[in-house]
Amino acid sequence: MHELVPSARMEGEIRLFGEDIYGRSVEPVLVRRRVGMVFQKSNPFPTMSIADNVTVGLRLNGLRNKSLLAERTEQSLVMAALWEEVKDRLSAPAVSLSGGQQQRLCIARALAVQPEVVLMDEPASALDPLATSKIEDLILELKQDYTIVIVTHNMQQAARISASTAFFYLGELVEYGSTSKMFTNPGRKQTEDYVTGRFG
Amino acid sequence: MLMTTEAENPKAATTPVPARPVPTQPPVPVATGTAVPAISVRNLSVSFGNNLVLKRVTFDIPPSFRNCYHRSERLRQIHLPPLSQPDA
Repeated sequence: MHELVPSARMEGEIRLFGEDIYGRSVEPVLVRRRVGMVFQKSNPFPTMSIADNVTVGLRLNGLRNKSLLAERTEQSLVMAALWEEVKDRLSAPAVSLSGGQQQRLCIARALAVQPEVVLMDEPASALDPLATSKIEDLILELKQDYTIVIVTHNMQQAARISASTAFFYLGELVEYGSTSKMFTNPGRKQTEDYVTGRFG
Repeated sequence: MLMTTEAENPKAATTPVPARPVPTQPPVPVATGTAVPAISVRNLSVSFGNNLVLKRVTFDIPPSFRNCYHRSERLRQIHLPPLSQPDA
């Protein structure tokens, strides 16, 4: 996405399960299919129904089989812990859902194409505590199946739901390690100062 | 209270104890040391104009449990049609 910004410049290497995602033979569409993304603010397609939002990625990839689409809709909504709340109104507009439900719908949409990695950019920062708790429970469940990379400024949330934590400050990676070590015995003073609330 | 077999059986101290067989270990849930990282970042720098937002960052993110052990099965289950397939 950064390539859409004219002034953007990137150096270095990113590998997804050993494959260089910027390699000449790598198809960006396939990379995008293998990496799901969930953003800070829920962004369901406003003109689409709940079901259509879930299946949009599949349909864009050419899937037209209605029974398979219905099956994937249910699977994805179940995985996103939203099925029970919406199963009787799948054709209702996605924007009729609450903020927390819309964010879980976006997670269902990301899961529908069966990614291997899910990137989440502050997925609960715009939600109330109850909705945040549901998203965190969902992440704890999903991380069994998916490698989840989550960006958060909420220290407690990072401590609750992650296995590994990286602390970035002004573009530099200060420290990276197991979450328990990062929060109980960090190797860098800057990390300790941040996780204990001395700054930030 | 701790109980030892030596206290109950005086001969135990002098009787050679056969080596216990090493139990078969189940698969380690996250093989962080040996598995191919899910994401591997090397010397990554990203800038927007003069704003350098990442400075030569290097780290690896290990795969989750099922990513690691069932990845091939998960990939096998993905039956998305070719991107060029026309509408039915």
